[in-house]
Amino acid sequence: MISVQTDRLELLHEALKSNCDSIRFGSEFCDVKIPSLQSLKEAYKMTSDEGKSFCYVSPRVSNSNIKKIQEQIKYLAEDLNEIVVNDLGSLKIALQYHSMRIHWGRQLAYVPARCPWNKAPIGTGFIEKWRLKKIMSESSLDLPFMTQYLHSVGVKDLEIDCIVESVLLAKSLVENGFTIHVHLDGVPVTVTRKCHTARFMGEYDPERCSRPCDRRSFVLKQETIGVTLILYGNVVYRAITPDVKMIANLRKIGVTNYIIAMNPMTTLLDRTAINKFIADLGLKV
Amino acid sequence: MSSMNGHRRPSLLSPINSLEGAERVVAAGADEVYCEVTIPGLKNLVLYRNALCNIQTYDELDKVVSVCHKEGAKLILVANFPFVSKRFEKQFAIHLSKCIDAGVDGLIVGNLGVLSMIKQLGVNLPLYASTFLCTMNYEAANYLSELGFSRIILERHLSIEEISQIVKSSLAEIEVFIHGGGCSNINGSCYLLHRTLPELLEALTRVEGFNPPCRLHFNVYDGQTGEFLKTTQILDAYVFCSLCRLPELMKIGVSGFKIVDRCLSARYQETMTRIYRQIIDLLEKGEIEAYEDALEAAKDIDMGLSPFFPQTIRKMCCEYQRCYYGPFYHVHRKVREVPG
Repeated sequence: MISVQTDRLELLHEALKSNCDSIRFGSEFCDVKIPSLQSLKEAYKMTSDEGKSFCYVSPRVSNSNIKKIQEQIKYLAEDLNEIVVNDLGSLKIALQYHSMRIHWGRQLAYVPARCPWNKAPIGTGFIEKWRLKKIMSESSLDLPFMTQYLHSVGVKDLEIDCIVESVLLAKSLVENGFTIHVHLDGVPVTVTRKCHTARFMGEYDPERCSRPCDRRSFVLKQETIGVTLILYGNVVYRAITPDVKMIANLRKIGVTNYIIAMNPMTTLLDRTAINKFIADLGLKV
Repeated sequence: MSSMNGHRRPSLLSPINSLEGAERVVAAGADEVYCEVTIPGLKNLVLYRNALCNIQTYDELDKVVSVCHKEGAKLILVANFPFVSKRFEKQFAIHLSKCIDAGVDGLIVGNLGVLSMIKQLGVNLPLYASTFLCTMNYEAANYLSELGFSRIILERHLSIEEISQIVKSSLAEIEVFIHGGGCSNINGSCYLLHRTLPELLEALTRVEGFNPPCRLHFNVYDGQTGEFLKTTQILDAYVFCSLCRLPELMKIGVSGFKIVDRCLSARYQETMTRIYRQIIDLLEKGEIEAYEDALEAAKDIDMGLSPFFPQTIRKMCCEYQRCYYGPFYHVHRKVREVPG
């Protein structure tokens, strides 16, 4: 299944006309951008009218916005039943509705390979270096106790990044009965509530944020350590270039759900760009 | 907890990485002391703190526990690895058992898988929810409480009003950071902290004062046109001090005040403990004038960050407005635009 993710109704029109199978609507990282209940209802109606499936995406939530999420989850439980949670408070609320299909968002998993300098060797001596390299390619989702916990609360859908380390991770997760959803946009290296974009653009009040991230992203280069990152909104990403081979490997182990994000960072802003992206990666079999 | 003049007395938690540190912070008035202990064989597994920030052996831990208990302070073990995988699960469990046998009084846990492991081990100690669990709302706090945590350490990126609302609605005790290491980013989602690259360490030494990677200078380019915009510390939203905010934090009923930085010297750990102890005690007694005098004096005390030159709160924090729980989109007043 190919899903297109957006937090803007204007972009949703284009997403719905693309070759995607489903829509993921909402803000994954920024709680200032949590859509209103009205926008959520409208997005759901537009998606239903097009005959595509719908999933609501929620970010990590501050106390100021938790009531908003409570309302939205209540609405979702009435009709829709699918939500991505990136916050334990949202999880608690969603768990009150037994019909809810909950996705474990990528902010709830700790994946050391997201580090921009994750390939740097650590440890001394061949054996220690090898062992630590293996450990650093694992994640919090690898622990059997974590698997038990997720099963105990009924979470079956897990979201991961499209990096080499994810292939091995996905294999064990699929074997443990989880459905895997792979993000193709970039690897989130760090997330803030003190939005770096907003501060850089001279915003002073989160309540009145003009949402410069709807229009711009930035490339950040640190010459001394030789690192290039992308700043989009309140997230710093490491760029990735998903390729046909990696998608084929993921498909081989049973991963069939891929997420395409529509935003200035991915530059996928209309149906033509989305359809080309899908075709180039051979996402549609 | 006592209550006087609207100010509620919270526990003061101090960091240590040595027996000397333990002796000094306990003498300076810490109610609780927290430390991590290096896991044998995993000394070089650096996620966000290197092994120099830890107590090195279980023998040393025994002595630290003894020092704390002798003076009536609690010792809290930092067991907040943000992830534990199958590959070192057993090693981690053995490590936990050894630390518990040493007599620690509580565990800081940063992962729900590790929480399940601890429950299976039958551990009967107070559990503190680490900032790696990113608690930012009362629903999350109550969920963690239901799962067995008795104290929730809140994420730094909250306003005092939000902290107050969480304290009122939470079933568990609430702890907040008050000094040192006020991350620009959300702790549990930050992967900038692996300090293994020599180039990174070299770059960090060029930044004055505090040195996490988010304080580095970056060349900023427009993502769409590629146009160079400026060189700046664009990721720097780093805060450090909350001395001026203590009256509000005490009024709202926070249970724990945490001083950060296990990696710094015992001198820093002791100095900051002494300063905050004095201020908390004055507020508790309602001695507002004495508090104001002590506050001004504290700003000019060398924090002990460097053995070579003094760094005061006024110079390192006040001038840059690096205040905990201030405005979110605040741009630091003094930010150098190009690398020195």
